[in-house]
Amino acid sequence: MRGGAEPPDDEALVAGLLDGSTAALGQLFRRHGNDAYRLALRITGSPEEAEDVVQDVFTGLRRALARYEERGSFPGWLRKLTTRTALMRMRRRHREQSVPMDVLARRSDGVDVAGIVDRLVVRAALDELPEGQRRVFLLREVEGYSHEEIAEMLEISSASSRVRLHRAWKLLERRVQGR
Amino acid sequence: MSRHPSGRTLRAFDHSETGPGSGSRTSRHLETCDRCRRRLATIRAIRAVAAEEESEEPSDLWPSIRERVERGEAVLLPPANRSEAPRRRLGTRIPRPVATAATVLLLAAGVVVAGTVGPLDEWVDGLVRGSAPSATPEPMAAGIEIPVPASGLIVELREADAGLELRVERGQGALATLSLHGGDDRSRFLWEADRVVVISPGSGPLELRVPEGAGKVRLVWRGASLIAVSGGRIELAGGVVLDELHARLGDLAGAPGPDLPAADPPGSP
Repeated sequence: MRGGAEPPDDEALVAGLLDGSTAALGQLFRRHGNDAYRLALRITGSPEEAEDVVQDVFTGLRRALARYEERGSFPGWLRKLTTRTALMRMRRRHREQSVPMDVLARRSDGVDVAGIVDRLVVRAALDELPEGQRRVFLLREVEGYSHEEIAEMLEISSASSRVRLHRAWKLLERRVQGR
Repeated sequence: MSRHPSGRTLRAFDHSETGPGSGSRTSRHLETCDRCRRRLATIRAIRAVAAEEESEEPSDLWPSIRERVERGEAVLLPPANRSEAPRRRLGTRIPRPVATAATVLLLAAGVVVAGTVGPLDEWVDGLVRGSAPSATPEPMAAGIEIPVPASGLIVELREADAGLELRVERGQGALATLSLHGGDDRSRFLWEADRVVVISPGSGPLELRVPEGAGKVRLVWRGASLIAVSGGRIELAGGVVLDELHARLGDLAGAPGPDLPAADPPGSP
């Protein structure tokens, strides 16, 4: 038997949001907002842009849900919505070529790759990738989308997605290994 | 000594995605090959750095989101999946070659032709003039009503990433760009104007000529879109006005905002 304090699942919150409940939206935001932010940050490379993306996604979520079909999980759908919103935003501006040092410093937490290659070198190599290759690389290698899904998101062919990934890896390896 | 595995094979090996034969061959090779071990380490390091999460949390976005939601602000989001994307038809139906642009040229001319309108006109007019056609939120209309200066305008409508992009130009540079998103199979782009000449009504670029003094042109995107327009003001559902675009359209006319009656909020009698 369920306890009364058990939090509602996503489906119940989605239904509540569709009924106009701001509280349901708030719960969805508290549950998924940080994931959406991290995803947007990875794609945009800018905390400010990422915050704008997340605000837009959750502000427009109720209307966007009208297109949501419960064929997949809500978190998966939300990730795609966030990815596409971030990509749309990225297309609207030229990507900054430089990476602020404070961003690099923040990124120095976490995974220990010391002794293998310099993390900053890898980060710089990632940031220096041509935009099209960088997007495919992140969507494939980090977000785990298939080439078919990437092709759909970026409106390219799946063959182009594969080629871009191959070229991205080639560039990354070359730069990281200092060749 | 065996041949070095390719980068693709090493990446697949790292993710345990190689077949049993290839996997064991790669594994045996790595036991004896420093070069490939270094390469695999590089691949893993690149993946690890790329997957690093930002440790910094965002600022508290909820108050702002709640405020925007409670204000009734509509945000135009792209579809999460292609299956959600609207099929778009422009005016007299422009097929979809990639990067097709329907260009509406509003030029000085003098012939009078009425715009073609469809059966959805009544509710479109209702929205544009400020009264909702029904209590049902969908479908909605989106459009833009543009005061036309004597020098004419160029209004370019093109398919964008996840919707339509309307670009308004006079002279050098774009004065206003508006992306229209949303829509469904019923969505259509129709044009409507006083005294307009249809230059190319068939498929392909749509060109309209507007005579000097036409006053205004209204371009209407119909269907389940998110934006309504009234008196040169872009209104989102719920009566939110995009002031910036409104101001820029005012600049477009070379004068303060168009002197048109303000719309009543949708739903008012």
